[in-house]
Amino acid sequence: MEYILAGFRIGALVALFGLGFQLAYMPTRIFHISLAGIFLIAPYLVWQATVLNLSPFWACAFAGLVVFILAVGVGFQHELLVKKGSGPGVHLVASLGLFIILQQATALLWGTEPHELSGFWFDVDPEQPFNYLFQPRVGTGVLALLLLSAIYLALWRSRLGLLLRGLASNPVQFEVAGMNSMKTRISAIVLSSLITGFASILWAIDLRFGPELGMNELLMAVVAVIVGGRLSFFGPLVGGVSIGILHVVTISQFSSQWNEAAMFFLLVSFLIFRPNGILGQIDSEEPQ
Amino acid sequence: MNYLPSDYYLLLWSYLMCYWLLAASLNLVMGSAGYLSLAHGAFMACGGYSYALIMCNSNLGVEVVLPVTALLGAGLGMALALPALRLRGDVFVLAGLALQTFFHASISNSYHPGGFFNLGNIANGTLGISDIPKPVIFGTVLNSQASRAVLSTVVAIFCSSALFWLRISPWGRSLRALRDDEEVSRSLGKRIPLIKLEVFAVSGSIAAIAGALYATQVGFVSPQLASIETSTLILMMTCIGGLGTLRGSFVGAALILSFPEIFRLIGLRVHMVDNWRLLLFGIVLVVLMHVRPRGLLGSEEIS
Repeated sequence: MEYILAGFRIGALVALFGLGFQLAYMPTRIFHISLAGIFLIAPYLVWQATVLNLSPFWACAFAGLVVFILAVGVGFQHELLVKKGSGPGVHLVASLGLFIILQQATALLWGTEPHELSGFWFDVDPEQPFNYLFQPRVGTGVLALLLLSAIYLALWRSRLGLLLRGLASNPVQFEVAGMNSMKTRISAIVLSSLITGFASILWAIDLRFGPELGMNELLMAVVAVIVGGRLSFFGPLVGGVSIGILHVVTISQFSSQWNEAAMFFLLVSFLIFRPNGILGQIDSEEPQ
Repeated sequence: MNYLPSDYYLLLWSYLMCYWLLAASLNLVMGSAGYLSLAHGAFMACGGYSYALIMCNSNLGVEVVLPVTALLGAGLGMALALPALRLRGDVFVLAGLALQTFFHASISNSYHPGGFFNLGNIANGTLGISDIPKPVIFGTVLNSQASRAVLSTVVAIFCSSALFWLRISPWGRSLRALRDDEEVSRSLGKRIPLIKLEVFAVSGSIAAIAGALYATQVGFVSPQLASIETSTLILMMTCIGGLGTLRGSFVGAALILSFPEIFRLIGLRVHMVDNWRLLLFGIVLVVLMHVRPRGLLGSEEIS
């Protein structure tokens, strides 16, 4: 049961982070490594706010505001490169640079020792029946699933969701139709960063975190996106479930030390044999 | 009177030679072939570990060990070339990361009796391999730092000359044609899969030699060599120096290695030097991508 609960939590949180990544990837077709920096800095911001005696809700709101400002900066940086006609490699390296800036700034501001978020979950009575259902690892997984459902609903019902899907589906036609692609791309990056920040806060509850947070989790999210289908908004959900199952199988059959290797083995298998993922679609932007 | 610089500066010079080779090997893949790779830390670790294991278990000299590490690095490079046969762009970057993660997990996996396929028993897990014997060349032990610095310099000049010759050869031109348009190269009769295998094998072998040279200097290797941080550092050296030139790789490596010394001279606290250095290079990387995406001395843009 322990393994299954751990797999559920990881699957749900990876799916949420994967959806955040996908929201920025599909309209821009760029691997935004800087999202790993957002994932890193969000729990530190919440921790800082709780040190200043803010309640968990206001601490999250404070972190959301800072992440919003950072994301707008990242979005404008991206648009500057788009205006210059830079290729995806240049975008990727610039995004890597942004991640390094955020990571080192975090280490300089808050030090390298591990931190933890306290007071973010209610105490669970060990005598209570089915007490494991109220533990943070289950609760954070359930919250992640609820948020995922809300985002999918918004993506299919709201005007912004329609714009994002339109830009992701056919950017040329989107611009020909007179839509503002720059504004939509920046909105996508901001929305993606906010989802990433929230996934990160859920991830950090019940865990100690340090400046090494971010990159490995981003890679897990990217694996979920590739496995699920990098050109489908439902890809991260399917990929997250796959990673959760793989996590349970690896821990129960081999050892937790082989988790990452197993995950990347899965990634390479998909990249070679089914590069479009489980819900694969052909990229209209790539030559056939 | 002693005209030699202190051992510390000789060690720094030897590091520069190692990282120059690493940046130059990545430059071959990125600048000439157009593949952005984040797996060079794995190649470096492959060289470092194979050198350490051979030296700890035999009395062979570097004249034998370095070619063996180069062969192993070439093998790992060809493993990375397999996804390159089908993938390009950001998806290929992921394949490189996957290879590196698998390599890192394999060497850092600690000892479990009866465990599943465990390299920890050979590579000593996360503790790494320490007390690597001093390098021996043609029966002479290189005890002094000066002699090891000369070894690094000679090997680095030999390898970079080979890279320079490869770059200006017909093979180098085929490589650039492959980068610019794979379909046109194929239509001209070029054997694209073979060229890809060759370029990754050459790059992997040079990076493995650099890893072995690093092990001769430090006398210690750990799984940290195969981490994403190492690969990012090599990528930063290559991008800052410039793509498509050997001198760009040298300048990039020299800049990144010299900054901690400058910070020490300024008087920044030692435990913060690394963070400030990386923060500065992150800023430089972003600014460079905006104002000069081909790097300081580069002739090619990141494709």
